[in-house]
Parts: sequence; C-alpha cells; structure tokens
Amino acid sequence: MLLVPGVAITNAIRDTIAGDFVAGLARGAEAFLAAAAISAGTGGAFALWQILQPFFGKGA
Amino acid sequence: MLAPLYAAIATSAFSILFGLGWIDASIASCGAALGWAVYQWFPALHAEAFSVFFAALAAGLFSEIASYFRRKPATVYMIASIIPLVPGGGMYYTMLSTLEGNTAKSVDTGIATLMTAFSIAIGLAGANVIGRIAFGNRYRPLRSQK
Repeated sequence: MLLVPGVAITNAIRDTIAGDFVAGLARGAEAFLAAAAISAGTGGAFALWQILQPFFGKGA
Repeated sequence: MLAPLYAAIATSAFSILFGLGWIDASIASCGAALGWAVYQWFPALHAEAFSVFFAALAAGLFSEIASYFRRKPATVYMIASIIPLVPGGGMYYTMLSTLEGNTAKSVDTGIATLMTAFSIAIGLAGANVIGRIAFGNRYRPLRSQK
C-alpha cells in the first residue's frame, strides 16, 4: 500500500467494531508504527539538512 | 467542481493496485466519486467528521448495491471507494508534531484523525446493516436458479 496508513487505521476500527479485537489491535499497531516510522524518516532528513545546509552556500 | 472526477481517476489507479478487473474498477471509481461529492457538498455543521460520515455511508450503500448485482463481497468496492476519504496524512502529521515536541498540535491533529477514521468505520458499518436488511445476505440469483 501507500506509505501513509489511512486504510490501515480505518480497517483497524472496522475490525474492532465487528468484534475481532486481536485483528483490530494488530492493524492499529501496524498503522501507528508506520506513521511513527514515516515521521522519523522525514524528521531525520530535516535534521540532516540543518547540518548540511552551510556546505551548499547561500543559495540553498 | 471537477473534484469527484479526480477522485474517480485516483481510485481507478488504486483499483489496479488492488487487482480489480475493469468493470469492478469502474464501479469502485463511481462509488468514490459519489462519496467525494457528498463530502464536498454536504454542509459542514459541527466537524469535518460529520460530512465524512455521510460520505462513507453513501459510498458504502453504493458498494452494497453493486455487490448485490455483481455477486461479489461488498468489501471489494468499499475499500476502494473510501480511498479519497481516509485520513492517512493526519496520522503522519500527528507523529511529526510528537517528534517536534509540539504536544498541543499533536493531540489536536490526533483526535481529528481518530474521529475521521471512526466516522468512516461507523458509516461503513451502517451501510452494511442497511444492505443486510435490504438484501438479506444474498446476491442476485443466477438465471438458471429462477
């Protein structure tokens, strides 16, 4: 699927409403970890750019 | 004005990813266009989740009717039809705000995302119930069964 866990979190809630609590919890944990990983990756890129920016001159 | 058409085009691309045939992909795209039209033109009374609920309900009812006539489970059309509505970016912004240390923004975005996801899930559950009442867990009978 896509990187952003939109369908995963919706399916987690649908499973939980239908009574499949283990499936819902597993899918919810997957969505949560995917979101955390995406934001950690982009945040790491932002932090790295803060370090690297002086080497690219004034134009960057 | 053309936003439902764009939602249909996006959903047809996602239908290829899900492995649907071209008839099912077209039906799911029509459902996505219907859901996005309801979401766009429904008056936002209290929250965004309110119009998202009715959009998911409309897309779910469309999927139930399509599943009756196509003799396939409604989930085939439901998952593809709610693609434009699901709050994937909200989850990402929630975690990004958490990592930045902006707790207030994180809680704000997180509750909005969770409410939207709950609205979609409850709308689909309501459509499931209405479809069960209308069609009674059956598909359209085959011609040889009449």
